[in-house]
Amino acid sequence: MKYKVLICDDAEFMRTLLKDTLERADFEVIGEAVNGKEAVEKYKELKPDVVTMDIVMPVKSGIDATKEIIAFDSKAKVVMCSALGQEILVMDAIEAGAKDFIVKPFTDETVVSVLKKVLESEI
Amino acid sequence: MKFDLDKYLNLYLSEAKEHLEKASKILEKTDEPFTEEKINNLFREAHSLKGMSAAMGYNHIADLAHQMENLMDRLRKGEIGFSKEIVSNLLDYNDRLWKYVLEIENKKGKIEDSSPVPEEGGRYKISVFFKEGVPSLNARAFLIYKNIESFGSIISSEPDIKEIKKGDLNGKMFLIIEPSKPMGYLNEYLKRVAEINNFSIERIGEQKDEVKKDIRESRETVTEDKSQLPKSVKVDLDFLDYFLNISGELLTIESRIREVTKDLDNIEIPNAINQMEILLKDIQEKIMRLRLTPLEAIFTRVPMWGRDLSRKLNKKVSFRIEGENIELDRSIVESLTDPLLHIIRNSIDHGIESPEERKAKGKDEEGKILISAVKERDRIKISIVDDGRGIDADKVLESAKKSGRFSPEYLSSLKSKKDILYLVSFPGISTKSEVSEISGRGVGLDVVKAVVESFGGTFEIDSSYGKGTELSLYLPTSISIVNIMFFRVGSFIFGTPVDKIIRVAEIRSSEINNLDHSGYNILLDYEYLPLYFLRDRLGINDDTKLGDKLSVIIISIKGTKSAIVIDEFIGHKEVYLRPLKPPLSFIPGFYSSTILGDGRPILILDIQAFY
Repeated sequence: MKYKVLICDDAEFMRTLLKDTLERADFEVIGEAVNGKEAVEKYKELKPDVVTMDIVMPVKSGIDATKEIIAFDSKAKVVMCSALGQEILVMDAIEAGAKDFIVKPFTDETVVSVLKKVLESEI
Repeated sequence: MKFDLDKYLNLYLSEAKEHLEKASKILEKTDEPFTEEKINNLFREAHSLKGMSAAMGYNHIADLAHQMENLMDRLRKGEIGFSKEIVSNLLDYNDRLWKYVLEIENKKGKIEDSSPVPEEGGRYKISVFFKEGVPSLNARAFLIYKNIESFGSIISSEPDIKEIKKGDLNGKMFLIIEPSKPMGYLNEYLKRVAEINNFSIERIGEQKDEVKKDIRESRETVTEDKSQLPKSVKVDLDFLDYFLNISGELLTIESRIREVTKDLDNIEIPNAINQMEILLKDIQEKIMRLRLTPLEAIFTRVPMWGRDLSRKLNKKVSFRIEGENIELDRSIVESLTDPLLHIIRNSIDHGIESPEERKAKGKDEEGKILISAVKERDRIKISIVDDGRGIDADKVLESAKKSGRFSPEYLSSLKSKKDILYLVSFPGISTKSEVSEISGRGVGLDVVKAVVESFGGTFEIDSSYGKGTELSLYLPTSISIVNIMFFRVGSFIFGTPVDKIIRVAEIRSSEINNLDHSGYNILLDYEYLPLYFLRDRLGINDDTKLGDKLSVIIISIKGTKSAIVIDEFIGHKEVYLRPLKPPLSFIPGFYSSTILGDGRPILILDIQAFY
């Protein structure tokens, strides 16, 4: 069975890039969200195995969205997509319950290996 | 004190597997209802496994073993009957226990540091070295810190969490953790973190100041550690046994040469043989010494576990250990874990009173348990002394009477308090009526006795009611060279270890009583001893006849002094015992063999096992 992914990013470019990368690696992208509010709604609706979450998004930030998703499902696996210089925000997201993070710019291998690691981990 | 968790793990694994092997063997034939013996044996295997697993922190195994034990207990008490469902339940328990134990063994294979057990009071130092050029290193380190936190509570870290968040970590961090999960899992996690270059998990002392020092030292010595080679090498035990075997064979050949050359008129031959013998014995002794392990390996383990237990039972107990440097053969030390745990468990659960009770009795609130080893001649005496409530000999006697296991004559013949207290070591005899979670049920001491006796050791119990109990185990230091009494039965020569013999005697056949035709007995030293003919048991039925004068060996059979009739004593001699190979090794009572100087192989009997 393929792993189901929800991609949350306000930039269409990033969503497309992630989608192509993950689909090449045999993940199933079951939904995309363009802001934090949509991310929470789609998580509840689609129940993905893993979520990629941009940190800075309109309407609701990735960190707040992560908090709400974890409150809804304590076992939710959320991976933050961050950029250099956003470390403080990343640590806030980790406190909020994010399982891991990917630093842009990233390679295909990094994305795939981080997601797989998170999916297989018990922590 | 140094701890080597590896040692405990290996001890645990080898013993756990042994218990499971025995249980599997019992469960092989399940078409017919279990005999009482089978039920008792299975119960004991499960019970032992439960205790040791709990001690190692493998609660999932302990729980399962406990369920199995309970089922056996209910079968034993007749609360449930034998059925196919019960058998399939037992087989299922057995399979799952095997699976769990093997899982632990396999895990260990993958873990370089092999420190997988969270221990009461144990702390671990985690050293993490990051790769160069990790993006957002501070966030990465923070994530790893948080994840490590899910394996236990972090006592301290270097740098501290604020510095880590700021990225002030210079490519490495050290954490002290009090684990709540097996460290093997943490090991697995850290292995998978791509940004880590290398890491280590080490067990450390408990003191807080040690922790700081430890962290600082580790910063300084990390690079040194890698370049130093150990000054000793590890040798496979099988390899050692091989040498021991060879040296024993050489000694056998030596005495054979002595035998065949004894009529030759050349003084140089015996001289040369003597010189050879000195060297051979020296080699043998050195090899034997290599097998010796200090008792520390298990002694240090006991208080740790005892502390945990006393906390659970709301008791205050302090432990003192003496003689942990005394060495015994490795196989003996390995086998002692279980008995010692049983004894400590009994002491804490039944012996040591609650702090309130102790105060009321005018005792110190804190109970004391002393575990000590001393060398007494060629034996080692291990004693476990507590200052608890002691054992009421009258109650033991009462319990023994109720059990129906002993004849009233036998019970009334017990004069000394030690003899009466010794009854506690039989299954089902106890001074406690209720069964507790921790111990009780009277299983402990028969396990202790069985292990001790399997090495030719003995077991003693003494207690002063209200004041405390002392258990003493007398053990040989090594196993392979044994003083053997040789004797003739019919036209065969057999041997049996001298230290199992209480005494030997000559009797007249007219002195043998056969009062109610149910068995023989004889009056010796003012005691009636049951009497058995070894030739009957061995099925020796040749032309040789027994005369009026008979030679008997007095040994203890299931705790009862018994007289065994043989034909004739030949003498005793220190010999090297050679383990029997299957199928001979499967026959109960034939436990070893040796070769006499003239090349004749002799079977060494474990006479107790015949009855």
